[in-house]
Amino acid sequence: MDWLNSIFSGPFLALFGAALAAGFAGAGSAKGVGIAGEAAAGVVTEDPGKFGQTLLLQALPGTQGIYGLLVAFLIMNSIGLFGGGEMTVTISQGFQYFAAGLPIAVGGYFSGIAQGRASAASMGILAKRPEEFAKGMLYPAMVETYAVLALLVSVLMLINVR
Amino acid sequence: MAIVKMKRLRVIMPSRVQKKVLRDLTRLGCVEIENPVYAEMDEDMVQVIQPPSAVTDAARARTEMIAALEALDRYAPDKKSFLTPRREVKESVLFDEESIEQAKDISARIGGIVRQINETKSLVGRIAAQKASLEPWTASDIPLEYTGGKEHSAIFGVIPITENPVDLSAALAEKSIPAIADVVHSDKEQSYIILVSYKDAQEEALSVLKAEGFSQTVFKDVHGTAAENINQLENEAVTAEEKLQQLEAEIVALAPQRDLLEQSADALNVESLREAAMSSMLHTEKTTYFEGWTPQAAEDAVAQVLEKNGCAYEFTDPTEMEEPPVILKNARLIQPFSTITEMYGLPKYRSIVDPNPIVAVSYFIFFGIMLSDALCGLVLSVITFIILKKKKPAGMMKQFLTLFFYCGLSSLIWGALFGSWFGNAPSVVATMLNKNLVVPPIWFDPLAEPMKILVLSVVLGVIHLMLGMGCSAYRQIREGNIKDAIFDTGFWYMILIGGLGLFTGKKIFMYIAILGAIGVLLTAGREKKNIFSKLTSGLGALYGVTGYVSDILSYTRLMALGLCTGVIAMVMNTLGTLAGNGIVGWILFLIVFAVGHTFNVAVSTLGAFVHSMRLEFVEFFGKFYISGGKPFKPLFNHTKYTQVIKEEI
Repeated sequence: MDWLNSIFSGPFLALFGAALAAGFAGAGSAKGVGIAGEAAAGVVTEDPGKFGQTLLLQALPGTQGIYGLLVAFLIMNSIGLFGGGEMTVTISQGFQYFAAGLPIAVGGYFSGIAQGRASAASMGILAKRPEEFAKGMLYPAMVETYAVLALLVSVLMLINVR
Repeated sequence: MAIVKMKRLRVIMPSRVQKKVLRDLTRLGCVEIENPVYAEMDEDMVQVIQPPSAVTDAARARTEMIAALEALDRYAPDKKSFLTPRREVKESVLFDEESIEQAKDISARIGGIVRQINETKSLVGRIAAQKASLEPWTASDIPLEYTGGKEHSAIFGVIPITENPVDLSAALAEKSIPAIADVVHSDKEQSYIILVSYKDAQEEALSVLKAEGFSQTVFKDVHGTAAENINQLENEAVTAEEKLQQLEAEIVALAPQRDLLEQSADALNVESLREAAMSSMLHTEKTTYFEGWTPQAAEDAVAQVLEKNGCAYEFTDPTEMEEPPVILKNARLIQPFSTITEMYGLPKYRSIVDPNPIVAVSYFIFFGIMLSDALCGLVLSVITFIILKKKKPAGMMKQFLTLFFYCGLSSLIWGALFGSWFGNAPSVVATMLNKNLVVPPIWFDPLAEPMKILVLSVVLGVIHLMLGMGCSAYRQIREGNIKDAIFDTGFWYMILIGGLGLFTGKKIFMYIAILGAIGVLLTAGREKKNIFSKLTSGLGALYGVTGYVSDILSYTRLMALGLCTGVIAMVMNTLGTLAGNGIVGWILFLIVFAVGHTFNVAVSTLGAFVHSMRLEFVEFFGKFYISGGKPFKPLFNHTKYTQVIKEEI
């Protein structure tokens, strides 16, 4: 039953939380950036001059991945993964770190995709009314609020692990 | 610091001076000409109005000139660097008619050459296509126009390749038809066949071949064998290519005229704007009438111009019915932040409040906290500063760059306060050099004390929101509704201050909040008639507290984005040190450092830009802003390639 012990060990649970945070938030961003990129390619086919602006819009759903990375990094940092020394994390703490990874994992995944859709729709604004580009940047930013809130909860949980 | 007061301008002038007047007004750059409203005019006046005189061809000439410039860019690309500033040109030179005429000639010449190039290119395409269609027949030495002699006939044609090819000669022989089907060539799709038969057997032979899908190929206007034709076509192609090169060289030879073309395109652009203005004026046989707007401050200067040219004019205050255009005038430091407001949409002319001073200060702070890295900020400021100094951009571009310059400085300040210099780069570099260095934050380290930055974000947010509500109250007071200001803003101030004060644990704040809540409950429905609907309106308004909570929480993005920049930087630094501090380690470190931090600056700047904007637009403007003003679009020397230098006349 050695493997069972290593699963229910503090470091593993903490790292599992970090993995979920970075993995799912990253996957959400990847999907979102992909969706936005498909629309961007369409706009640039018609007007290559808009490349720079499409890139800005495409980059917007990318933040969830960064938030996930941020949480994962903070978890890894606080359990002492980088120090090279022993990781002293109790099982209870491990579960707490695990829980702390979840908000940004779930929130990041779904908001990333939704933000990608909003970005893709804003490409239409860029194509047809480029002068209103700033407004088009705002719609995806509205979605991001919820990723920010998820990140907030993740971080607050993380720094208060006992 | 306000929405600029506008004056309605009405002018009647003799038609002969109209061009001169327009030119002078363009120089001033502070009169917008508007389409007059026919409905408001006397019938008599409408009677004498003539349709606008035929517009000259400045716009068309400009389009041609820009096409010529594009051709120049294609065949003789300009080697100017991105940072080269726009050329300075004196007014008299820019609008010199002779040089414009000369430029028109040149652009016509370039246009002609481009047309020839296109024709030659399509000729080359046709030759290539023809060559491709003849190529399969090269193995045969029968002239392609050959159809047969006295007794026999020859037919050229193709048969699609099928999975089970049929031996045609055998098929013909089987039916004892006196004919030969010679397969000249086969490719992936079809076989090329010459069918030779006696004239009376032709029908039969054809029917055998047609069963296999034979279709006849007829060569129009071709003489000689395929090989001869291809040879000739190749010669033609070479000639065409030579001609192409020669034409391109002709365009390249015209490259030195680029400056002239550019400045004339600018001159024609201004001219075409004037034409457009002219067409929105009313003309009678001898006079021209127009209406427009001019800022109050420019009244004297405009009057002087009109006086000098012998026009009849009047300035009046805008009536209630009219919607004057809007410009926001602010101190020079604040002006760049006006672009943020303009992106949302200008405020209505009579909405009293110009939000720019508050937007400027809060945007500056928010951007700084969100980027919150001293070196990121420094990079941003230095880059924008260099572009500003070298390229000397104008208009929107200049405003934007200046905005980012300021915002970079703000990040520099906040980064220093939070002790983030590309994250922990100083101490990482020091460790690589086997030394010990920690740059301590001037204030506090957000990563170590996240609660502190969270509180900071929320407090800044509440201040920002309260300023927004204050703007609304200010407007109500200016409109004379002091009671409304107290009821709608004062009581909410009490709730917000009381609510936040609760965190300090003092009882007094609770009473303030409760008093405020009671105030809202009792006064929010003051317009309503009966007591019942008064109370429900009050309750509804109190429910708005959820809105305030979500508004305040929205400011936590200050913390989130701020932490992000620092953490990405730390990740990059950690990645860079993975290979130790040998030579390989240093190389890896430098590469990761350069690429990683460039990425970080780009991503974090974008995030800070968009999210600061969101806080202004959604949370702040949501409290008071009335958008829908139409921008003031005066006639001015609107140039793209050159910078006009004013001269005294």
